[in-house]
Amino acid sequence: MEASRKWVQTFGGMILLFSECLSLTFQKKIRWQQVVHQIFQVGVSSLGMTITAGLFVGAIMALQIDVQLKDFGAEAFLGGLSTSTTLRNVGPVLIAFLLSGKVGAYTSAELGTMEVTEQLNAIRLLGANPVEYIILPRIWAVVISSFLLLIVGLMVTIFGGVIFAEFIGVNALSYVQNIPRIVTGWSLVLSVVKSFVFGVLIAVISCYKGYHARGGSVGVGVAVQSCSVTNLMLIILFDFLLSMAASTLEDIFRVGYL
Amino acid sequence: MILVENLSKTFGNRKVLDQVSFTIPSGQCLFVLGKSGVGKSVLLKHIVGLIAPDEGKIRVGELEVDVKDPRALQSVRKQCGLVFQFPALLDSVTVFENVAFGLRARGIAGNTDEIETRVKKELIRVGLEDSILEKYPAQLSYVAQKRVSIARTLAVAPDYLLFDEPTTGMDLVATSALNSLIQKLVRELRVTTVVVSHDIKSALKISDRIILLENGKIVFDGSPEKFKTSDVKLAREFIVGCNYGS
Repeated sequence: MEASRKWVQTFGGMILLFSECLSLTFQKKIRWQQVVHQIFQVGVSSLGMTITAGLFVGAIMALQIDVQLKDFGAEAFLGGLSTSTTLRNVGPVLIAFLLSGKVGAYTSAELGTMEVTEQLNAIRLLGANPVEYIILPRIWAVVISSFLLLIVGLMVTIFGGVIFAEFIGVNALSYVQNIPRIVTGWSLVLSVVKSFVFGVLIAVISCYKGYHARGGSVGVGVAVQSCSVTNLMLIILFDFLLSMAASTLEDIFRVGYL
Repeated sequence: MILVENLSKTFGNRKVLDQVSFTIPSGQCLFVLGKSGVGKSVLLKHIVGLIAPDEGKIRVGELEVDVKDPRALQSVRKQCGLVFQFPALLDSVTVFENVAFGLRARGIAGNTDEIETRVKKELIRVGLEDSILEKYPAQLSYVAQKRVSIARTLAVAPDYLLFDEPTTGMDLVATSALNSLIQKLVRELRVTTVVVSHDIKSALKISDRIILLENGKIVFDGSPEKFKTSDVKLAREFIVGCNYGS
């Protein structure tokens, strides 16, 4: 009962924080210079990790799907099936997991430290709103960088699949030619929507957890731990919900093949 | 004037403040003494509305401190300047940006030149050179960070100056230098000052009046001279400790 109450409280708190940030954004109180600074701080430094992970995710998907297809003599479908699965589900989720570990943990630890060392209280007493000055630029920086990194990561996963296909004896050209047969515009839209939603989740969860850290260095540790767990849980939950919604919509509009 | 009336606060099942009442007239320097964990900092945070009381009321000047009314709270905070126990400087920006933060947030100084002039003036006032303007807090010593924190608070020209354990974590030389600085500021600015501390030497040296907290209640309220001759057991312990220390 207590755990459920805490979850509702946390979820409600995150919605309120995001609403306040949206409201401040519409009031044009966003400081873009700070956003750009934060994008470089958290986003650019994650590019190498995202590319490396993306290459391997693409390769793993190609390998695993090839194993299944061989049994049916259907290797010709490898490019399309592997890319579709990666774009629609595995790619966004795995890369979001990685980013929640790097960008999310960094942001919650930074904000948590600011809270427990009274930097946020100092801001309040100097007459400013910490949500406007500290949280807002970070939320948008994490949303934008996570979204862009996810898109880059997804492109790299496709590339990783193409490269690995050559290693397992599938012609790269036929692999690529097979992609448009199965991957539809709907798959691309779904992967972009998922990337954006996961970016928002990572941003809001990590900022909320850091902002509400209490009790010295132990409190920061708890905030980072809680941020990681909540990120993973909600990414999986939202992946399920978005997949369900997409499946229903595809059935209605009959635009998908898978 | 600061008015604290029947202030009570409980954390968990521990009553930290129990019906605490006192008034600080304008221009007075009050020291709040007590052992560690007795609720001195909690009292200070109530005054600036960082903590909501369970019972009682607080007035700062003409304004009531009401944490449920953000607009009124903002007006109270605009009159106050709190120097935290630890420097609490924004570690992602330079010393200049730290000191200029309040000026910008409160819209006190208009253009960049004016802000720069005020920042430099406050740094000099607290005994720092403007060569540190572009440094980050982590590049400064703890004592210098503490001074920057005081400069940041003074920059917004508060009517009420509040210090939370200003000499915590400092050696004797730094403590003495910081006490001299606080003493100079109190005399120079003539603003109402509240210093929360367990440093009796500083209290006897700087304050107009001392309040002693024990078990959430005020057990002594009077001048430093009266404190020296007080019969209150905790006051005697502080005086004996002070003499032993010297």
